[in-house]
Amino acid sequence: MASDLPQGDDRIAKIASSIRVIPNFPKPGVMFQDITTLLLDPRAFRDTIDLFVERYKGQDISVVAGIEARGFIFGPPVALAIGAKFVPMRKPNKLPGEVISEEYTLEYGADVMEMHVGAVQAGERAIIMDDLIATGGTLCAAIKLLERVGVHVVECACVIELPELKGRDRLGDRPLDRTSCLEGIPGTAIEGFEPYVDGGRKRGPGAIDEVWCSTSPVSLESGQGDQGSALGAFGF
Amino acid sequence: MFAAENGLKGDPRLQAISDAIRVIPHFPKQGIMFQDITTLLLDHKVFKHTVDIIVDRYRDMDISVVAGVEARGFMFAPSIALAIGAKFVPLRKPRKLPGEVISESYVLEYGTDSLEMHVGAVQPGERALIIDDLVATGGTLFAATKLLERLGAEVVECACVIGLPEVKEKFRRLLLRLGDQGEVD
Repeated sequence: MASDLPQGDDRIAKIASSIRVIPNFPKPGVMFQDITTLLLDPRAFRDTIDLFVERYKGQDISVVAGIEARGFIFGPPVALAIGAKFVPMRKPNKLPGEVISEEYTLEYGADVMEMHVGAVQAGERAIIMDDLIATGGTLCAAIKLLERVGVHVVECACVIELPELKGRDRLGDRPLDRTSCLEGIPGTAIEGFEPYVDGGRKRGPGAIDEVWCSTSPVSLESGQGDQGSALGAFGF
Repeated sequence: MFAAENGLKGDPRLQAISDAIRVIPHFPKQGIMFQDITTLLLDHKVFKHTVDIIVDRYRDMDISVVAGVEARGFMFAPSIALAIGAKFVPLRKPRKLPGEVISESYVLEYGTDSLEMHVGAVQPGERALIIDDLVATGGTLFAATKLLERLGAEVVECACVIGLPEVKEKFRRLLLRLGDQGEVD
């Protein structure tokens, strides 16, 4: 959790305040968490990447998977800084060559996520990145794609969590029945949706230990101090 | 290679970058030899070389904006922006960006498409770089350039990992291409 960070890390508050909320996008009633304003603030963007790099460097992570399209913005800088490969997880028919596919349910209908065959090897340790976790449906699909080829998904890392949608719980349950992975729209509560529970959390090979987010609208860290930049790892 | 025109002749990193790109025949349709950069992204050293080369060129050019074209431009541009201390501006397909946007259409082989940018993302007078994985006819980059110029930014250059030979002559002077990957049928 961001609460694991040492006291005096004011980066979180600055990152959170750089995110703008757009009401009624993409439809009425949805409060959209817009990270593009974070990206316009070089310091905030650098701090965001630093927080992830500090957490994952030295953890033997060889794969950073990023979910199309906003996961493509955060994943590669982290991958470069920790010495991992970057693997894009894409909508159908975007990746050329041989792919594997995973279907997942949306609030209305279904979608499909694809990954290249041969992008990852069994036994590799991976993190999955996206800008935001809502219900966890998209991340579930990404986890399954990686686990199908024998990768250990160590953690999912997102800039923003919408905790009321309980995506965190969904990722902690094993095994996952894909029909119960629902993708919602940020900011909405899904009426009548029952999170998948199978006798409480199960742990086993490939279980997700936790969802780690560097900031959340619900819990913010504050304090003083500057921790320097892990971007030195870039060698720039 | 085009990069040779830009002082990188003989740089061994270029060969590694070129070798790391995979060609997929007949994607997305018959006759097209698709230049797939995902294999480059799987090779951390080569990915880093790619970013390094671009950063080395632009770091002292007073660039405050790095714009990336959805979606493969997103894989390269943010790292470049971070390294040179610039803001990253995503240029997106229609209706992806929330809030107020400006839009620029461009012509495809069949039909048209458009690119959008947030109003307020750039200020007049800012110096910008545009990044995409590949330039073919230059149509997308031309639309991207217009978006930035409409808000008063100066597009210093466009940088792509791959340049295809059919890039229009009028656009050549704006481009730095790292590798010349051959022809699209």
